[in-house]
Amino acid sequence: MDVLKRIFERKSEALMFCAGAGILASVLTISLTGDFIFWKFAKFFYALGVIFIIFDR
Amino acid sequence: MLGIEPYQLISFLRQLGLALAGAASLWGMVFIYLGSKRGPNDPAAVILMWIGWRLRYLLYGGGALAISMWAAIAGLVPASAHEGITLIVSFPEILQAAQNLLPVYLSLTIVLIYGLIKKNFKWIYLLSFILVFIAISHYTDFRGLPWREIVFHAFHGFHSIFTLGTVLVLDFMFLSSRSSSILQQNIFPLFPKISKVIWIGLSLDLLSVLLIFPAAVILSPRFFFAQTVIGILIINGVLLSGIITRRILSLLHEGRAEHSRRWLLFSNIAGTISVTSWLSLTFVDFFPSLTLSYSQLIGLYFSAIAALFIFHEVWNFFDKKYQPATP
Repeated sequence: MDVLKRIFERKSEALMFCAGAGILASVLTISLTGDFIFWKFAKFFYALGVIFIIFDR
Repeated sequence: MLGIEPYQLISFLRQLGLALAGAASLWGMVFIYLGSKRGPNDPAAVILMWIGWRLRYLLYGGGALAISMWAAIAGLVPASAHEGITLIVSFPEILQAAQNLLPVYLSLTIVLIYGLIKKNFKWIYLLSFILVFIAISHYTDFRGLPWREIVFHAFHGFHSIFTLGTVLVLDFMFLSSRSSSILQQNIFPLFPKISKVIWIGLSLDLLSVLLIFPAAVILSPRFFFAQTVIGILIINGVLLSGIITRRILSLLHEGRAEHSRRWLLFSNIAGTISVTSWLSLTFVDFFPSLTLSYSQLIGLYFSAIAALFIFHEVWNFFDKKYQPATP
């Protein structure tokens, strides 16, 4: 947990990382099932991350 | 060849030139403004002014590329989203837009030539930015299009200033500051702030894609490649603007420049990934008929990252050789 905290000092960074990982995972799920659910979740995380980043110091 | 038409290549190069010229104008303006706000004896003001005016090289380079490619289109031809999700634009629409933009490109040419003649032309960045913004947003004829498509095209056009162009500016700043730790101390703290603009730029593209989703989705190798690159881009960007920049800054502030070298290497690799990713995304979107498979696209992508990394190292070698390092 400490290592993660050191890497992602801010919530925005953790959210963005999840978004990036989610989009990579969605490449697999879309190609296998044609379902965009992961992709949509990842984009939601991204949007949330951007909002946090705007208000970061 | 490989599903690439000459007019598509011209359109891609025009977008690249406009994105670079737009971002150089934007950041040149911002740095000169920030520099002028500080006192004349503040070393940070001198560095901000220096980097601000140095971006003129990118403005001239990008502007010349955009104008020459526009001229080729006006005599020839077209375009498309940076997420592998595309609205195909026809040749007559692109040609009509290029003809409509004649006054804009002529004005941009005059501004750039005047800036070359009169070195202290203060309005060069603002005027160039306004003209480039109009040109990059209006790459297709909007008449008769539904509002969703108009917004998509406009966002899809100008977000390149905030993404591709800004990443290239960031890379130029990184390369320009490598020979001096004083430059690094003053320029690196700007990187997270500039990264915010890149994140916002990517979200503009995301918003524009939502307007045409899911009708424009084609599950092609291009789409999967673009999504893979976006995923890598986001993870890479988080690490670059977060932990890597923070660590370099703290080591530089502690005067441990030697220890920052390893982190500068990470920064160099991450910067290379960022530039290659944005170039790749823009590139594939201009070629809807690309016949390359997913594995071929990924292979080319990693080869481009390696090539750009070597270019960075060569640049650094000559920069150090001909411009001796300052403390």
